[in-house]
Amino acid sequence: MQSGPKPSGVERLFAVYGLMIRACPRPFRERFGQEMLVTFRDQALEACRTSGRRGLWLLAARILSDWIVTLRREYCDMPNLVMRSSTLFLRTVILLIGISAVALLLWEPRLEGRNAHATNFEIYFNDPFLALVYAGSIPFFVALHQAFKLLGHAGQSTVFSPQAVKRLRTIKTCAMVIIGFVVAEEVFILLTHGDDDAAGGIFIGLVIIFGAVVVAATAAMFERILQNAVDIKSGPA
Amino acid sequence: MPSDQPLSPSVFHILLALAPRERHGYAIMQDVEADTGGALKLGPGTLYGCLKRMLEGGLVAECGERPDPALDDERRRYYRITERGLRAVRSEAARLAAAVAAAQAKKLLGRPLSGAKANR
Repeated sequence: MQSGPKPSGVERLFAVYGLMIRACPRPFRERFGQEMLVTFRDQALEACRTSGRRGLWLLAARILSDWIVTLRREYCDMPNLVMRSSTLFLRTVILLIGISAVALLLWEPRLEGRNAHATNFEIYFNDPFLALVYAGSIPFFVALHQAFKLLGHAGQSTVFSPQAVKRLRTIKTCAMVIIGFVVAEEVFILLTHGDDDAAGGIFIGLVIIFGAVVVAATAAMFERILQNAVDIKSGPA
Repeated sequence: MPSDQPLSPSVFHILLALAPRERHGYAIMQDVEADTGGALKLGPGTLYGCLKRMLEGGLVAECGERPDPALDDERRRYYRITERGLRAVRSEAARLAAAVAAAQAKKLLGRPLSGAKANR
């Protein structure tokens, strides 16, 4: 329809909406994505023409709520089979992460040089640091379990439910508890090793803290988004 | 989406917009907004979500050819109402008219409504 130059505000909104459409389920996006973009462009040009910048802001607010309702509806509407096959892969990955973590936790102490000639009892039950690590692994496995269950919600199209929000909250709490444990372990390393030989352990701890912060922040963000979606009881249609 | 089931306001107004002739998405939005006096403004997500379900339910169909290909964006698609969609919108309009009549009989409406207002 319109082929002339577009106002820059419209261009920016158009680009943002293009990204927002990418969050829609693939079958819906592939079937209607281009049409939605064209329709949105017409709406934005009309809003800009009639009300200027204010019209664009009002349109942006309306489009945001329309997008949240659409995401909720379209993901809930997806055939279970499609969701199941895509979540199955992720659940397998989580399972493998869990198995690898168990293997690492049991196997790593045997590689320590000071344990070369130790008995099994001495390796596993005579090291306060290892006890701290094992205690700290509990929230890690709880979080993995919750993530596994959360993907089950996605497979059954019940991801927009209070239970899913609760699981995300648990993952966030677990990530924060893990940070607490790692800080305690760092302090333990500093106290027992002093400056000597502490750098490697401290660095690994910092990497784990960084990962846990990212997980906690992501879980908190999704918790809020899901909570908003659950709060929207019913949109139009 | 059986034709004798009550329709949601969005679906009803989309069918109303398509009843006279085929339309593309933005034209449907404009018609719905005009028909409802601005009370119902559909976003692209809601519009195409409804159209998806209406296509699946056989209430609307996609037009094979565009009315004015020379002037049009090729990404735009046109939709038309089907026989089933016509039956559904007629039946919903009759249901709403009966509801308005019942409200008038109980003196809940001051004066008879007509046209677009009666559909809200």
